[in-house]
Parts: sequence; C-alpha cells; structure tokens
Amino acid sequence: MNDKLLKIDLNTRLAVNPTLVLRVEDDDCGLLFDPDNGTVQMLNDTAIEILQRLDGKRTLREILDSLQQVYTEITPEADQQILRLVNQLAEMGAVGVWEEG
Amino acid sequence: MSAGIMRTPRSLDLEITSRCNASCRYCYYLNNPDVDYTDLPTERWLTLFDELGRCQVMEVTLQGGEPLLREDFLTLVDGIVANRMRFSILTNGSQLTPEIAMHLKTTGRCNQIQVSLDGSKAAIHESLRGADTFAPALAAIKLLQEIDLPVTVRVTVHPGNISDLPALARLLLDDMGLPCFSTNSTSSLGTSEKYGSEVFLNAADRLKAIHLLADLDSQYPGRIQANAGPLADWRLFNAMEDARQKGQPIPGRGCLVGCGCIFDKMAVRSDGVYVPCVMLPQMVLGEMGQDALADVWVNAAELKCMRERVKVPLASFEECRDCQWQKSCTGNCPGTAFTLTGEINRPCPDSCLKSFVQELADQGLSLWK
Ligand code: SF4
Ligand code: SF4
Ligand code: SF4
Repeated sequence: MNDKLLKIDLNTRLAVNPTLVLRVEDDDCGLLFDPDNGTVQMLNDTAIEILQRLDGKRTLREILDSLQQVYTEITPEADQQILRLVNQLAEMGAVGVWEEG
Repeated sequence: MSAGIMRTPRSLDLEITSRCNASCRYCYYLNNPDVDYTDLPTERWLTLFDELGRCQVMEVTLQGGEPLLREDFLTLVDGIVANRMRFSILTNGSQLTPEIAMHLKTTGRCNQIQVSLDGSKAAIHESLRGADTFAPALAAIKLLQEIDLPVTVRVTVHPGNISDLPALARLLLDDMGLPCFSTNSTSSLGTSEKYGSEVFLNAADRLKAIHLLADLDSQYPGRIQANAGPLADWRLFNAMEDARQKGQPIPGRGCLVGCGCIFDKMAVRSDGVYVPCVMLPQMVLGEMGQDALADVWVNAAELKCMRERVKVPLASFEECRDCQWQKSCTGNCPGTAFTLTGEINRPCPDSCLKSFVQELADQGLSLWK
C-alpha cells in the first residue's frame, strides 16, 4: 500500500499507482488517467520517461543512471529535479511503494 | 510511428450486438448492405478488452443494435472495468432493469447512459420508433435518475416531431429535471434510405427545426447539446456567417478539418471488424483478434488517407471555389460525405451552408432571422 508519509530519496523504489493508467500518447506526451474518477493529468516527455521506468524494482538512482545513458545532456541538477517531480506525484497519489498483488 | 499520431486511440465505439428489439425507421445501424450482422461470443470481446487495456484505451461506448440485449452484458462491463477503462452506453432503454442499473452504478466507471427519446408523447415518439417503445424509454430515464447514474437523452429530430420539440424540452428539462439533452437528425445510412421524406428533414423542415431549437437554446442556455443535426448546423452556420461579416475567417478552418475523431477514436462492428467510425461501417480497416489494434490504428491505409484530409483546402473543390464562407468552413463529416458521394476526402453536401442557403432562397426562405 502507498504510504502517504513516504520519505523519498534516491534509494527509494517507486512504482506508478496500479489503479492508474499511464498512457503514452506519442514520443513527447502522455497522461495519467484515473479510471475511477475519470481525471486526466497531462505529462511532459521528462515525466513520461521517468514514470515508465518506475517499476517498483529499480531505485531512483538506478533510473537516473539509465536516463543518463540515453540522454547525454542530463545536468547535475537532475537528482533534485527528479526528486521534486516524484514527490509531487507521490503527493497526488500517482506514485508510491505498493505491496505485491 | 507516424509523426503526430497517438500510438493508440483514446476511446472506441463498440457495437457489441447486431440485434435490436426496435425497428426505428431512421436507424443508421441496421440495413447496411456491406455489414455482416453477426454477434461474437463473450470470449472474443473479453480478449479485445484485454488488448484495449494493454493499449491504454481510456473509454469505450457500448452500442448496437441494443447493447442490453446481450445476455452476457454485465460480464462484458466487468471485463471493461477489469481493464481500467470507463464506459458509456447508448440504449433504447427497454431492457434496463434495477439490477442492471445497480450493477453499472457499483462499478463507479460509468460516464453516461444515453437513452433515445423523440417525443413528449407516445404517439410522437413511436411514430418512427415503433409501438410500445415510449413508456420503457421514459421508465429507463427515471430509473437512472433515481439511482443517480449519469443519464442523457438523445432526440432525433425528424419531420414528425419538430413541433413537439418545445413540449419535449419542457418534459425533459423542467418536469424531469435533467441537466441537458442532445439532438441530432437522421443520417443518410442504413434503414433511413427506405423511408425518405418520412425521416429526412427537407430544407423547410430543417429551417423550422433550426429556428425552434435556437429559441429553445436561448430559453435553456447550455442545456441543449448537439454534435450533428439542426442545432449543430445552426451554431456552425452562425459562426461562419459572423466570421464572413467581420472579414475574419475562423482560425484553423478552410480545409477538411470537420472530423477530429480520426485522431483519437475508432470503432468496432458487431462482427469484430475495425472501422474508423460507426458512420463508416463499410470502411473495413482490419479485424479484431487477427490484426493488432495499435497496428491498425497507426497503419491502416484508409485511416492514413482520412487523416490527410485536414491538409486538403476547400478551395480545391469546384463547388467551394467561389463560396463566401470557404475560409471558415470545416467540410464537415467525412462519413456522410462518403455515403453521399462515394469519396471520403471531400466536403459533406449535407452540411454545406452555401447550398442550404440557396435551397432556401429558391423557396423564398431565409436562414438568418
Ligand atoms: S436506432 Fe437504435 S433502437 Fe432503433 S432500431 Fe436502430 S439500433 Fe435499434
Ligand atoms: S460550398 Fe459548402 S462545403 Fe464548400 S466551403 Fe462553402 S459552405 Fe463549405
Ligand atoms: S466520420 Fe462523421 S460521425 Fe464519424 S467521427 Fe467523423 S465527423 Fe463524427
């Protein structure tokens, strides 16, 4: 279950809330759809790249490393940016740590 | 992947059954010679829903025929819910029971249930929809209201119910307290072809319906909706005339941009054939179970061709070349254009402002009040 008071750092293994649909529309945009209330949260390309990698197995540090292999232009501030983004998403209940099954 | 095209559609219209217990004279669905009116077993639909779930489709609209005639209807609904989608239903209301309604409510996933109602009295509603269809439709609307499911009503405007529109608006909006209802008119497809002037609005009827609905629209602001039919035409034509008078064409128009759905939506026939829209049942794109939905969506030649229509200027058509509304026109529905002309990427003659104004003038009538 998602712990709302979850402390997120680069060692956290996050996943997208399994009740939500992460819909990748094209290379640049996508959305998070909540079928239970019909709400849609539009996502930019960075958010999609990160959310697609949140599988509950890899840490945020490992995800950053994998992004660095694809995107050479990733800056040193990326650590803080990714933490800001996932914290925002966690507050919305869109990502968290979910028990198996 | 094609540039600018979504990887998969956001929503699909699903004709889950070809059966219907009514025989409406303007039915666009039945009696299309190119359609195989067969139903698929439960498993085939459930397999499709799994595929839609993997394709991150968000919403489906269940229709037919009469979708509630399927004995496995609730099993199909559960399959949709399990695949994290929401759903809407188009129904004549006759098969709705409190048990079905309650099941739909408990899913928490129902966007809306649209019930067809064409008149404020049985005689008017049933004139084109057949005997004993009025009371069940009304009962279904009331049942859905009682259990607080989002219900909408669709009114098909035809020559026999124009004068009843004010009474129908009173019934639905004042007496029954619905937030809104929507209107359209008979499309040139399916059964309607057999009934001609009984179901289609001629120019004078259309004008009368337009003016009546425009008045009702002012009386009930924001509560009468229209994607097609006289009220939709009125809104479109008014905007075009306004733009012409101001000498400021409506941005994004002047090409065949009248159908946005080809960029986010498609449909499946009851026999499992993929089509661009329920109004294009003859345009086969592929078959469920055999062709991957995502592949059909991105690569079907017919869809690719239809998507090109937005680049086709209206000025390239003989009939549009000298038209004073050309730069604000959308060319309208490709489905009806295809049915009427046999060509998909051309303007729809049914919604042409220039020819409508001319037809009215020939009869000494004017569109503008
Ligand atoms: S319009 Fe709807 S209710 Fe009427 S015959 Fe056609 S499918 Fe049946
Ligand atoms: S002739 Fe008709 S379809 Fe062509 S631009 Fe004018 S109003 Fe539109
Ligand atoms: S083909 Fe016509 S009816 Fe179908 S989505 Fe396009 S505009 Fe609408």
